[in-house]
Amino acid sequence: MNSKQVCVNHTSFSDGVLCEGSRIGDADAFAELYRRYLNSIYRFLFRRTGGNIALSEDLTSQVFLDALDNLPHYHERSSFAAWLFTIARRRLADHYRNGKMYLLDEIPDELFGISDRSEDRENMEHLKQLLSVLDEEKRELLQLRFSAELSFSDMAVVLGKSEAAVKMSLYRVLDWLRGQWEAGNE
Amino acid sequence: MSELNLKLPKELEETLVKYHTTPIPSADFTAQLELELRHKVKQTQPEIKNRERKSFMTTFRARPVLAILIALLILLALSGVVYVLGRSLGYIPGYGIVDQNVAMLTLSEPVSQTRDGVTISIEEMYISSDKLYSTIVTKNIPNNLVLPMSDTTTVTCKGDWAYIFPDGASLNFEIDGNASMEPIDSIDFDHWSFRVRGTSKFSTPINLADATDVTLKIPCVTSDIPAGSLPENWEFHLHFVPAPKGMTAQTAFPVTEYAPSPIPTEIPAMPASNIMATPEVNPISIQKVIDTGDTYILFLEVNPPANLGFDYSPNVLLFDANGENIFLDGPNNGEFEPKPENIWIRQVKKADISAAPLTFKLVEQHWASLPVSVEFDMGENPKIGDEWQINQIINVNGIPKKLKTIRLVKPYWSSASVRYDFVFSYDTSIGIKDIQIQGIPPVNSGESGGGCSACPTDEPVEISGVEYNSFFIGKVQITFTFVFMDDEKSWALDWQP
Repeated sequence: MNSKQVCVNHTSFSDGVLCEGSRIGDADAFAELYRRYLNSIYRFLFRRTGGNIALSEDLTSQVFLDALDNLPHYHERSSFAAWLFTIARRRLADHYRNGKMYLLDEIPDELFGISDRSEDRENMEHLKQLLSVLDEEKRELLQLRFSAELSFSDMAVVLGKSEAAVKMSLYRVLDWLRGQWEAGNE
Repeated sequence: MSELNLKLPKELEETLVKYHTTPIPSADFTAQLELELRHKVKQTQPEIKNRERKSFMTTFRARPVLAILIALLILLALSGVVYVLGRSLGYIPGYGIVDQNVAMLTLSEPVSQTRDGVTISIEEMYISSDKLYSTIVTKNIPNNLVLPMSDTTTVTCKGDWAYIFPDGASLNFEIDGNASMEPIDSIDFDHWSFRVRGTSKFSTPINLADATDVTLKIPCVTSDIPAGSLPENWEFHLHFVPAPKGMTAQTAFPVTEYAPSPIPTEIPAMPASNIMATPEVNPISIQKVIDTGDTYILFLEVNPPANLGFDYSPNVLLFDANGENIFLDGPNNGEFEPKPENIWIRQVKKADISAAPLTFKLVEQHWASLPVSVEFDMGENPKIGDEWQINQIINVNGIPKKLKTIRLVKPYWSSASVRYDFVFSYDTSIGIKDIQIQGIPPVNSGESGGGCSACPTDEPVEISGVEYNSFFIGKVQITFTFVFMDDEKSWALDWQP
């Protein structure tokens, strides 16, 4: 357990510095990276597994354990966030290798964090209907931007596209959502 | 969404955010995974080798001249004066550090070609006897040609870039670890443009006199488009001229080199609880500083003294003259690789510095251990999910540590039958080294919390877990081995930007 207890406020370090610390066995450094990215990785996987909590937890564990195993090979040519989400996508691809993809409606309403207001529920229902029309690639763009909160440059690395292409694609998806949303509210 | 110049209806944006930002993982899962990760980090921790050190007196007797030199260097460090060396190094982003005194060739003028609307420009190129530095811009690749990552069936354009020298010898151009690729004109949604800046190393040194005329062959503008969709097999005839001495100074940021650090000498053992600053054996020194205009890139040499029973933080902290802890970044590419392990490269934004001088700090702490046993009744039928509120204060060398809860959980990652989680109040000055129930070592153990960053605003806790293959029943003796800090040394180095 705690054989080394040097008290350092790791929140003041960048991801790169924390990676360096993790590589030489600083458990607090890796714990800080874990805390920084746990929620966004989990939320991304939760969305991509149709709200399957057990599977999201299992994949989240695999992502961080993979990251730890492969940390010596991470050379900071891309951001840590982009690298971590690349691992998450690989783990998802491994899981869905047999072709099973999730259904959006499998996610229970109570997990969306919406209030009891009927207007909020209607809005969520409306959004879910619109998202169900989108293909997997477009939904992933929204997930990487809103669930994972990645920058456009990180999204570009994760998706293997140019930053401009990512911006353009996301712009088109949001523009389509806006048009459909406004049409539905008329 | 302002980055996209797209205004979404407020309700849509709020619903989108709400949809995508829930839920968060359960606290139990979060803690369990952290336990596992911390355990794994420690399992894979590289062995820290004790470095052989010679005492100053031993050195003095054997090599008096060297000893005098060392003494002078120590005096220089004590005086707080840093001595700048006179070499002429420059930093070019994407290229790394270049010696401006080394003979180089440079492109006589930028070269550019446009075919079917796509432009490739060789903006910058330098050749030394062992390296090639280049900046190449590719513009206006139609986005609709760029294949999605999921497309694995389309045949794409393939081929390595090559340099053909006048004698027919070729050098394959490979983007190595020192390359950066940045998109440009990113507001153009219909086209992809990017700049690649990087270095390549020649496998054998070349004669610069033979390299004044080179043909660059680029088979594909990018490998992300279908074969044949854009012009292929580009050829550029490049003419190089000798670079004027110090020419790179026009494009390079200045690199300030400092005098080598004093060699650490043996540290006398200090009495307990004596916090000291010991500049005479300072393990931190500054090797180089690059001023990029809005940031400083600092090359720190860190040589912690050999193990005297102290643990040192693997990170150097930085404070400004007001005592504010300044965010330190690491370099985000491999342009400074390879580098020795004891050279730590850190970047700091000038805007984050409110007052100079800056102080780099390395903390060493000595921790003593103390076993404390408590008795606890597990009951006759303990099961997974049981939780006992304890709230017992345990005295650890005069410092109170509260055992708040004991709970029985199912181990996530091992085949053990049960995990006993002990939830303690969090205190940076006391850690938990070991837990044994009835004197029996657990099959697995770990902890979460710990480290200042773990402190939530309300009631911070530290959880230590031990796993066993069977349940304990009835009254048991639990032995906690606590560790507490009984000595600390702080090493500091002031630096005036």
